Amino acid sequence: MKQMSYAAALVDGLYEALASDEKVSIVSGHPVGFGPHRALMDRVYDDFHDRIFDPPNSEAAIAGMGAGAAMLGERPFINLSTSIFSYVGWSQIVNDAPNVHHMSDGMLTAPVVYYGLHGVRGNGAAQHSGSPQAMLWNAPGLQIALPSSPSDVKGLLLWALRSRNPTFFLTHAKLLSIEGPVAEGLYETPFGVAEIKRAGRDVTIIATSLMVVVALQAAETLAKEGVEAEVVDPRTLTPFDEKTLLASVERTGRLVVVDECPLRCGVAAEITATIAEKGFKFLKSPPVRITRPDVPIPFSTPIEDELVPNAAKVVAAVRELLR
Amino acid sequence: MSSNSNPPLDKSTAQRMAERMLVMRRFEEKTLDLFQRKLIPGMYHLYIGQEAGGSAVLDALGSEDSLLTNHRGHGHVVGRGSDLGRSFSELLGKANGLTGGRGGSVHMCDPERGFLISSAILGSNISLALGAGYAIKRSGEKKVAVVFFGDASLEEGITFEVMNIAAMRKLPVLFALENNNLGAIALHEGGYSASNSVLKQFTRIPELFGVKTVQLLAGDTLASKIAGAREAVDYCRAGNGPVFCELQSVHWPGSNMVFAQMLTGVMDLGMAWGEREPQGEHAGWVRDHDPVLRMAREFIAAGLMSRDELLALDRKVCEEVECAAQFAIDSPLPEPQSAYHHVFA
Repeated sequence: MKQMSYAAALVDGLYEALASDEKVSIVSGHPVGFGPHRALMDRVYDDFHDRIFDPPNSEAAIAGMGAGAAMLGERPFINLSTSIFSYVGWSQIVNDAPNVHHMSDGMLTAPVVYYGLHGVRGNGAAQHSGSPQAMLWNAPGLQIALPSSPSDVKGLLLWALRSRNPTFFLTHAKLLSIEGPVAEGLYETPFGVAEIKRAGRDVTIIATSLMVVVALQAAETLAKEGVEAEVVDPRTLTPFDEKTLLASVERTGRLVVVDECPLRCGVAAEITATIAEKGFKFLKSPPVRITRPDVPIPFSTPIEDELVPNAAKVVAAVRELLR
Repeated sequence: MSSNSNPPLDKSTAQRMAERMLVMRRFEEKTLDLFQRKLIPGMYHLYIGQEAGGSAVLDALGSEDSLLTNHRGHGHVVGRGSDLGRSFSELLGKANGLTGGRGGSVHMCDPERGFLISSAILGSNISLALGAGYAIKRSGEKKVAVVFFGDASLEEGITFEVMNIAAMRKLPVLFALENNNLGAIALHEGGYSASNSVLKQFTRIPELFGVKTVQLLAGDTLASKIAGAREAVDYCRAGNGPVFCELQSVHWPGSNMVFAQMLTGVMDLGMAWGEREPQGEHAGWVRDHDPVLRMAREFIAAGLMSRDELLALDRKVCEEVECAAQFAIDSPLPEPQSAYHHVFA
């Protein structure tokens, strides 16, 4: 185990994937942005420059190219940069890649990995603060990964690049600098296995991506008040580990879901509906959703902060729930 | 292309081309018949009128090449040699269709013959072909990725993005534009969608990206079309980068409306040599532009096939098509529970 940043772990995963599989290639070589983490990619460019293609600004074309190449056995990592650029290639991402296996009666697969940074990154304003995962979750055939820790980002990426199915892999600008222990070399974190990031008996907080960090902060505050929150991270939305989530709610009897998508039909909506449908008998009180309101994200800091789920909002909701 | 400068066809090529074009035509005539008998659910698009250019390109390909087509793809699939019974079964939504009734008319797919998935979204199949070209180039193999698309795809932005990248990376993609717009009736005249572009000379688009262009004009001989298609495929296969091949055809009047009608009648080879004369409003298309009749006249004139050989071949094809259609009619529908299969590999 080595202590490293989320960004470094992601790059490490990419490096390992390229080193271990000739079929892996990268389209658009700056998945950790053009900021302070950019230099992390230098060693990847040094050792694999002929397997990195920095394309024109043509999201639709590279999204389709990834699906087409994957049909012929390639393992392309298609970096769409800020994940909201996926909207420009939406047809290829949700209507081509995930349908290939089904439409071909199981004869073909298109195991492309689409990648992008999602969420409110800070002063990104309405068009660069989006989280497409809820919309993507409505595309059958597409896997969705939302790693929240350095260890997960590397392990889930290596799993995605060996999976037989297409994946949308979402990271978050505000996660790139967080540190954590990461195993060296090749390892895979399987999709469809939730992780209890913190055990607790009083309330289950389900969160993904950056919201796991927020939930863990809230849990620390609550612990000082004698409330033990259990923080559960599904890690992937498709496949979705209902079992671990339901088991947690069975133990705690209370549910809070924290999500950076807008409220209506967001990720929290689907998780809450699933628990209500299958775990109603475990619930001692109505479930609570803490999400972005259905409002575009504004540019200026105070009006941006107002809309984003944070630890204080989670703490207040849990206090209210246990009152 | 000039028809004078091309080498004459050999008999085996002529035989192959004649059979392919007859299969394409008779398959589609039967498709329309099956639809009118309410045996085909959903939407479909016929390939009638485009057989010459498509056949020429298919003839120039090797067995290892990758192909993608669009919503008007029956001709490409049966022209490549896919099983006729399983092709009809797919149109009828039967369990033993090419894709088990999951894809239907617009997603024909036959990986054994190099046919990757057919995206019915204009431009999307072109981006998938870009990926096939990317994969071929990475593998270092001397293969070609061919994508067939219509002139409407040149109204989509993604097509331009794809040409830019294919040219930039010198990817072995053959863009086969099937321009069936000649003589088409536009929406405002009561027809189906026809080309809606200020550009009338479509080869100017690839030229902007420095992509080599080859035009197979509607009036070219088959010998000329085959030479042009071979030139395009060979250029691509040699690693020179993408080629844009325009396959022109005169719009078949039967697909002027949303659901095709046999306005020109079932094709009668005797009209190729004046045994019978085309009649009615669309006699001109049959007389001057029907690619199958033009093929018959060209091959007879060149001494490549006789009337009797053509008639015998046509009888054989008609029997195969009839038999294949009956196979599809007699085949079972998919089990409802199979709807859940193949979401994930």
